[in-house]
Formats: sequence, C-alpha cells, structure tokens
Amino acid sequence: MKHRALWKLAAIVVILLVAGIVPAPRDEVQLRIGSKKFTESVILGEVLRLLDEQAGLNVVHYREFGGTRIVFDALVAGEIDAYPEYTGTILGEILAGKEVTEAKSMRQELAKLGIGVSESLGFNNTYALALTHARADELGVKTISDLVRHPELQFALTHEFLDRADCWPALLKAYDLPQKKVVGVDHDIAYRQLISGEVDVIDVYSTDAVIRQADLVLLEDDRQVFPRYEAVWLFRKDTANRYPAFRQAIEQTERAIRETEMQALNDRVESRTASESETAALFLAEKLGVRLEVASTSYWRMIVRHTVEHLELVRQSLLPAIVVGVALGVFCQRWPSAGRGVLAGVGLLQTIPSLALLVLLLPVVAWLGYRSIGEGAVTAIVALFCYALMPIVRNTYTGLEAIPRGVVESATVLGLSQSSRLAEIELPIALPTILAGIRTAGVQCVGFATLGAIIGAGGLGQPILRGIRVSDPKLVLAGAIPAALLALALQVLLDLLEWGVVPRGLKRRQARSE
Amino acid sequence: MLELREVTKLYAGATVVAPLTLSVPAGEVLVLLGPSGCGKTTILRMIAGLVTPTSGEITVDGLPLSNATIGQVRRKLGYVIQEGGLFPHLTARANIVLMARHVGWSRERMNRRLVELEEMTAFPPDALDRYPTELSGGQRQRVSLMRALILEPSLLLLDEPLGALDPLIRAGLQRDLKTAFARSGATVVLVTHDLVEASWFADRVCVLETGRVVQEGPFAEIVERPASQFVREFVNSQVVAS
Repeated sequence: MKHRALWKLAAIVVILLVAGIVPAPRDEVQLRIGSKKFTESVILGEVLRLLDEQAGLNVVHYREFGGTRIVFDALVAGEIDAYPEYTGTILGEILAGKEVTEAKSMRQELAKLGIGVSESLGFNNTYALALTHARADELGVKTISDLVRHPELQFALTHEFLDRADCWPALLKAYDLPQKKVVGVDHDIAYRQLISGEVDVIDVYSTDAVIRQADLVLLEDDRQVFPRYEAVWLFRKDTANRYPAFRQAIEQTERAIRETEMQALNDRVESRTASESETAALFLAEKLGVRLEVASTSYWRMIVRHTVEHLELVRQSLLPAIVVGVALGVFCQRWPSAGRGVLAGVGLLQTIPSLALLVLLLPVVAWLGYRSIGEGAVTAIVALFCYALMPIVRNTYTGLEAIPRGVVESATVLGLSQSSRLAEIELPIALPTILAGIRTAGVQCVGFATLGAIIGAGGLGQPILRGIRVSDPKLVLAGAIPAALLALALQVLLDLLEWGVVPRGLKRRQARSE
Repeated sequence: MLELREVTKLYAGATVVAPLTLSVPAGEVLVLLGPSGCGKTTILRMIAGLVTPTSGEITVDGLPLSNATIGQVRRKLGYVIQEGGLFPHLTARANIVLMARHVGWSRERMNRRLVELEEMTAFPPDALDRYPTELSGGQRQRVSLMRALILEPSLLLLDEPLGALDPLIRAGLQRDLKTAFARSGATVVLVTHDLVEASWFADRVCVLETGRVVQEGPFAEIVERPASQFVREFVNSQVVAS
C-alpha cells in the first residue's frame, strides 16, 4: 500500500524494457547473401539465394546494403557468406596496394582472409563512360581520347567511380583529361541528369539495362585503362565447407550468364516488368532448368512486411530510450552540475548526421560482438535509440524543473522519501511534458528508421531505396506513405495515452497556460 | 515543545538569521512578524528541515533536528504555505489522505478523519473530489490545512497562509483557521507581515528586523510599547495603511 506508486513505476520500467528488448522470434539463419546497391548485384544475389533455398538451406539476402568496402568488410567479418563481385574491383580496389595483378595471386591473397573466389559467371561488366547518342554524334566523340578536345563537358560520376584508384584517377592520368566540371552523384540520379541534358558524360557499367533503353553510346577505352570486370562470387570458405549445397549452388552459376543475357535481366527489372526475385527465377528456369515457385509478393504484402520490420526498429529503440531518457532527465534535475554534461552529451548525439551516425556505429557494434548489419539490426536500433534520447531527457528535465518549489517542499515536509516523492508527486506532475517528449522522439524515430535499410535493417526504407534505384516512384511512395501514416498513428496513439493517463487537474492547468 | 538555541543562518557570508533562541510551549500560537527579508520564513523553513542552520540547535518535542531524526520530526509537523503547495495531479481528497495512506490507515479511519477535518475547516464535502485548479483560493488553503492536520501533528507551521487571498475570503478563512488551531490543540508557528493576522492569532508575537528578534511579547504590548523606532514605524505603517 505504502509503496504503491513505487511499485507502479518499477512495473512500468520493467514492462517497457522487456517489451523493448525482447527480440522478435526468427528462424535460425544458415546463410547470408549480400548484394551491392545496384540492380545487377541484387539479381545475382537473388539467383544464389533461390538456388540455396531450393537446396533446403535457410538463407537470407541483404539487398543493396552498401558499396564495395562495406560489403567486403561484412564478408570478412562473417556478417555475410557470399556476394557477387567483379575481378577488376578485387584487383583495383579490395587488394589495392598489394601489387596483385593476376588471378592466381588474387586467389592466394583472398584465401589468407578465408575468402574463396568462384570462376567467372560468364560476363564482363566493366566500367565505361557514356553519352547520349545525340550528344556523341554532335561532338563527334567515339573514344575516351576524343574527350580531350572538349574540356567544357560536364561530368556526373558516381562517388565510387571518383574514389577508386582504377577508375577516375587512372583515367585522368592515362588520358590527361582536361574537364573541370566534375560532380559526384548517385548512379541513378546521374542517368536522369544525362537524359535530361543537364550533364554530358556519366560512368556506367557495360551491362546496364539503360544503355539500350536510353540509346547511350559507350566510349571506347582506347588506352585500355579499365581492367576486366569478370563477375565472380566472393564467398567464405568455412561456410562453403559447412554447407556443400552452398558450394554446389555457386558452381551451378559459373560461366552461366552472357553479357547480353545479363543486360536483358537488368532490363527486366529496371523496366519494372518483373521483380528481382522473379527475374532470377526466370533465369534459373530458362538457363539452368531449375523450376521453383517465387511467391510474387503483392504490393500490400510487401508493405505490410516492411511496416512490421519498421515497427520492430521503432519498438526496440524507442521503448528502452523512454526508460533511459527519463532516468537521465531525473539525474540531470537532481545533480545539476553533472546534469549539464549529460544534457550537452545527448544534445551532441543529435547533431551527428544520421547517416554518419549509422556508419560510425558499424565498427563499434561489430567490436561489441553483435551483428552490425542485417537481421537484429543492432546498429540501426542503437542509432535510433541515441536520437530518441534527446527529446525525452530534455522534456523530463524541463517538466521536473517546472514544478513549483512549494509543491516539492510540501511533499518533503509531509515526510515523503526521495523515491516516493519522485514516483508519486514529481513524475506524475511532469507527465504531460514527458509524454510530449516521447511523442517528439517517437515521430522522429519513425522517420529516421527509414535509413535503417541502408545497412540491411529492413523497414520502410527498403522500398524507398529500391524505388530510387529502379526509378519507380510507386515504390518510393510504398515506403514513404506508410512511414508517414505510422508517424501519424504513433502521434494519435500517444495523444490517446495522454488523454487516458493525465488527470484532469493537470489538463486544466495546461489548457490555461497555453 | 519547540526550542531554538543560538540558531543562525548565513547565506554567502550574509547573516539572514542572527543567533536566535526561542522556546515555544505546547499549545501556544506564536506569530513571527516582520517585513519581507527579515528572516521569518527562513526560521520556519529551518524548523521544517528544508534549510539547514549554519549553527545552533533546534529540538521538536525533545528531538534534536538532524539528518537522522528528520523523518521522525516531520511526522509531528504540519506545513502550510502561501499558495497551498497542493499536488495538482491529485484531487482534494487524495491530497489530504496521501500521508494517511502512507502510514497504512484503513479507509474507515481516513473517512472518519476527513469528516472531522471538513467540519473543523468548514470545507464543503462535495468539493473533495475536485482538483486544485477547480477550487477557489480559500478552498485550496483549507485543503492544504487539512492535509497538514490529517495525522494530528503536534506542531503546525504556516507561512503567510492568507497571503494570496482577497479580503472577503480572508476574513472567513481567518476565523476558521483559529477554530482549527484551537480544536487541533497543536502548537502553532505562523509567519506573517500582517498586523491584523498577528493580533487575531497570536498568543505571543516575535517582531523581526534583518534576522534579529527586536521585540517579543503579547500583541497589545507591541502596539502600545514598541521597543524601538523600527517597531514603531512597522506598526504605524500598517495602522495608517488600514
């Protein structure tokens, strides 16, 4: 009886923590395939996933979750077991600085890391510079050497292309290109800029579907700067030893795909004729005679799945943040000198750009021994947790500070202990302000969670990413609209909660002060 | 009942309360009278354990006030402040019975005591389930008084309990407070700057000037034989004003 309020507070804390931390049940995953954020990589990932699945393995595919460095590091760290890569990238990028030039020594170097390399999948997807047909004719350029005569040309190159030692820096050196107007943009945006005439030259992969669709001209690499980019699998040798079916699946795809076939597959996805899964299944059926059922997921099922993932992210970050945030807020108010540091600290956390925070957290989470990418989504959850803290801490602090001194002192002289006073008097009086903080944190959290898709955490960011990649506004909306509705729903839910738990005495006061 | 021995309070080197020795026998109503800044509220807050004296000793019912005994001492205290200090998230009833609930009173006992208190403070029973914002200023002070009285304290501390009220309500509450003091039998220390209140409530008055007791005695004596120029001026200013 005496400590009823304290028990109630303890119960709320336990419920929030348990509800927030308990992981959702999931099947044990045996194999994880990764892919980089372009269509071909995702299709190849799906091909391998379907083959493994057909062989009875429980396999997941982290689609489009990063560039070379992130995906390769994930492979070495054991976060994924295989992903499609290109020999040129391996030599020029992954093993750059190791003076490796031939296939054999490449295999040896990677073997040291426990990584195996498959045979070529059958096609060469090298880098190329592209112009629209019309522009190329107008300028009369056919080779990269011809570009030297047109220093005024505007280039839009992908960041990866600009940074890689075997791409832009190598081109500059070999051809002595004079162009000054060079900007770094996303692959998909560069295409659109090229077609709209905003830029003149972009970098492409030679199997890109859009080359055919948009009637682009690839400039001949007359000085042979670009290395060969044979598609291969990079895979973990220990996984291949553990699951012979996985090794067999890899072998099945070796020398199976020609360049034009790959272009056609890419085209199917990018023209939105079929999803990556359906395209991969079609290829398996036609070329390898592997028949399998690909559940053609409807839009609604896809949205529901991603919404559930999204809610998972919000649940696991927001609920613990409420407990920790309120506790920190109380701490700040009780010990103001130390509290200033805490307030500054959580404020600082919020100023870190969200994308940067995710990337900065990757190695920390991995170092702590958690999977930093993919299922479980620890990195995304930690990042969201950090963002959610600030409004909750601040509002708890403000709410407690705003209680008139006479009220607190009356409680003290009545003989309430510190803890009873907190549980029975101070927190309940500050409740409307605390709830407002939780509401802000929650709505922010729903928005930020869309970024989780970048590191394979799923959620409604996934369709947005895919939509941008295949220029499908419908897909972008399929992620953006439910995310907005979710934020709205959370807001309404918290409003209802406030209406339900805040006593009349406090509502009046609030209404009057507003 | 209440003893202060050589109690002082310094804030950042400035004397707020000069060495003060005071003895209040059981059942007496003592009024600490003086202008704002004279240290009267600080004295009350030291007795309530909200402010620690710089030196000296305070005993309540023979119990010296310290960190170890503060809980025990507060059991014997009732405390009422100017704005009431009511808990806005609780109804009048919940405000009043909070501590009774904490010490484990039965519902019947609480209800019995509530009836007594309503009568004692002339509080309308139908207003018990209202929240503080839904009560008038006078009703709020009555609730505050009931909250202070519920566990039958032996020492009641009041800091300008009528300060925030308009004159009509003030007169009514003033009358009811006096009845309540008498019926509760508690020793009372009341802080005010108002001569009328002092004359109405006090068995004995202490007049304070910048942290020092400058005159002590029955109210009539203070008015008729002011001990200093300051006391004379303080008394006259209010006589003229009213």
